[in-house]
Amino acid sequence: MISLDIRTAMILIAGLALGLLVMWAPQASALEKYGRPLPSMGDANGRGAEESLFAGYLLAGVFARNPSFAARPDNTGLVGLRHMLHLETDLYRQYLTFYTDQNLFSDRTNGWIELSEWDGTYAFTGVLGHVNWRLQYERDAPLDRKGVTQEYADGLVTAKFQAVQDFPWWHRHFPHQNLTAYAGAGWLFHNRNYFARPDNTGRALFRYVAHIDLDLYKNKIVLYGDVNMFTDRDAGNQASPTELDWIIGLAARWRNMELAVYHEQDQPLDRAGLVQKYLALQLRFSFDISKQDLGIGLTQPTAGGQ
Amino acid sequence: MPRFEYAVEMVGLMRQNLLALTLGLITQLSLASCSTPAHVGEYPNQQRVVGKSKSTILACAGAPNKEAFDGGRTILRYYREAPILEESRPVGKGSFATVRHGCWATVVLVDDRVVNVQYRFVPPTFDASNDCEDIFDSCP
Repeated sequence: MISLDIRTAMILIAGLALGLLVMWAPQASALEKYGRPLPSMGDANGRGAEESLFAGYLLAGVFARNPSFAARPDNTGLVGLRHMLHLETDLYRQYLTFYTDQNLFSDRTNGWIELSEWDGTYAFTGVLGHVNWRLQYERDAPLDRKGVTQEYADGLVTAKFQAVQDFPWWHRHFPHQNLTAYAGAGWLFHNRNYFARPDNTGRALFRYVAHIDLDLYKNKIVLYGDVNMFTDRDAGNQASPTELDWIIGLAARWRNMELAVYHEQDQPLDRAGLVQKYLALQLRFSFDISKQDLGIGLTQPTAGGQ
Repeated sequence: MPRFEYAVEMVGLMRQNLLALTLGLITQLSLASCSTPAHVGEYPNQQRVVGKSKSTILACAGAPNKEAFDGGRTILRYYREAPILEESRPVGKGSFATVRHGCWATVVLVDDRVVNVQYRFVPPTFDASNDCEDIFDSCP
């Protein structure tokens, strides 16, 4: 438990106040390059009718090599296939988005086809500058038999970095490449059987995440890595990680499709125990329905001046 | 107070203040980043279409989302939203969604020649120049 004395609180308040001053400092208006302003053609900062109404993707994956990644929340079976639907919609621009993921897994030790686990997540997320927040509920349940159900609700804050934006020199040297990354921490404020290690021991309390996307060519070929750590609320040090899940993958995109090959390994950090790992191939098909597609918010061509 | 206990207390106090300073710094940087629009620079495809005719632009970039006529100027506006595959990635047994973003490209023509192309990011704090560049990727 961290206790704050008056001096500490004052330092925090001073930092916050300085941040607010920077945030609300008067900003110079951009000068029009050709002197004459352009005619107004809708919302200056928004996407108008082009804004996505809802979007998502379908995912199909095969666990090509899986010595130990379990097919149910009680750690029985081995995953064979993964099917997933991701759906999201902006409730208010980029500030508030709702999304859901429905993940279905099959057990390769039980014929590959019959579904063995259903994981559903429901989340609100948003962004303020480089800072992304998320509130998420997840429930992982077995489908083909009775067993352990895991569920949690968490809050997560991450900070994002984008090389093309944050390194002025990047674009000159790598015009068709980019490097994006985010990292942050979260708190599982509700936890029912969401474990703190791959061997289903402990109860997760905090999570630390980091992700990196290295865009090798125009967002068509992307090398990515992901790290997710959990801490145990029953451990002596509740902030010390007890599980590390890491992923490394390579994705190739063409139009609204993506083919990826990746490896995931979930391992305990504070003691020896079960390590779950696999190598998978996955295909994603995206869809995006804009307001314009449904005839919402369309404007006629305009003529004349201001 | 024994010297050892005093030292332990001082170290504890220093760590607490260091934590507060770090939190303050992160807060400050975060808030500062919220208010800073991404810099809009000059880009290869953007520069390449200057001087082209309207028919050339329509042929390579397609029909604009919006078109306006203003005095002697013709203004074409294109928008490209970043594909969701870029913004949401499955990780573990779920996914991580980042901000949906896009870019408006405004093409200004005078006497049937492009005289200026402006990019504007949505949201303004996210560099989406690659999306605008994609609009003109097929242009000669």
